[in-house]
Amino acid sequence: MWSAWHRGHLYRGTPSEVACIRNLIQVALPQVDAVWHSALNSVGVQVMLQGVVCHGHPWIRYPGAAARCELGDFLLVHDHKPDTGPLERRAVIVQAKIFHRSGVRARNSVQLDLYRRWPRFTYESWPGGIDNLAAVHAQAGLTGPLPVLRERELTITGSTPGSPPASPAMLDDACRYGMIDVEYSRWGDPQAGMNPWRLCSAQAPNIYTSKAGFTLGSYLVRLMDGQVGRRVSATQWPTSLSVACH
Amino acid sequence: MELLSILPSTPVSASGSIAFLAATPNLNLGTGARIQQPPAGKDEEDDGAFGIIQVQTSGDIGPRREDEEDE
Repeated sequence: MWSAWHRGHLYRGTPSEVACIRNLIQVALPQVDAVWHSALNSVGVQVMLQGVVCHGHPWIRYPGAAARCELGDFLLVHDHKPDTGPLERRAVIVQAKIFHRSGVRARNSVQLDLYRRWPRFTYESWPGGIDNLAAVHAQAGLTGPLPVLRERELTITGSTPGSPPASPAMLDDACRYGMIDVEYSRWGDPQAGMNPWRLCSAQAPNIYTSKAGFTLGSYLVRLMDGQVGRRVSATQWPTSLSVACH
Repeated sequence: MELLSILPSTPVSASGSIAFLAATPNLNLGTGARIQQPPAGKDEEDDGAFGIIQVQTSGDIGPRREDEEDE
């Protein structure tokens, strides 16, 4: 990841979040895929990393919030097909933040509150336009009045009434701030070999001034090992939407 | 559980999960399928980009953590 960062010249000046995300997905990911493919194949594990960058964000609003905010900047998903048994999936949504020497400048209390509490929220925008979300609903056969159809509640855990909500730890597992350290480290040094990405808990009291967290590469390894991220149902994408509606 | 579910907020199902994004018309993340770039289009209120990173593995990667709460 550092190699992609360096070769993308992102160390020159202060890159934008979008530039960092594009570099990560379009440049670094194929390199990681190549390295991991070879390393894991030798021990009998097949691996493939792929990514896509969509235009625009999902924007949401929740009760009590002074303004709407982004749902996140990218989604990490691990799908594992064991030798026996069904597909296992873990996921985490990440909010990227440029991290300067003094910490994060683009502070957003609405966003932070969302990541700490995960109140019920409503989509107001969607990658490629809100019509895309309507198309997803139509494809899945979902109908209902707006805005109810666009409401989401991440604390629901089961299909039966009264099933317990997700614990705070599980909600925290489902999201991370992706701090992009653009100033501290020697990104211009081709020998430095350091990763600018840190994945940090939104529950940290000093979230805007601390980048304590796993590197993105380390986090990916832990995600693959089932140590981090939130376990989610493994529906196929996108053909089995009907499964999601039972 | 309903992480990023396409489903409405009523307690309807434990399924769905992250399909809401993966199932957008401009994506194709079906098992073994390719990823397609989204078509040109712009929400007038949006600038920026949203990414999805998918890691697919198969084989024995050792024991995996089980969450405390059942889905």
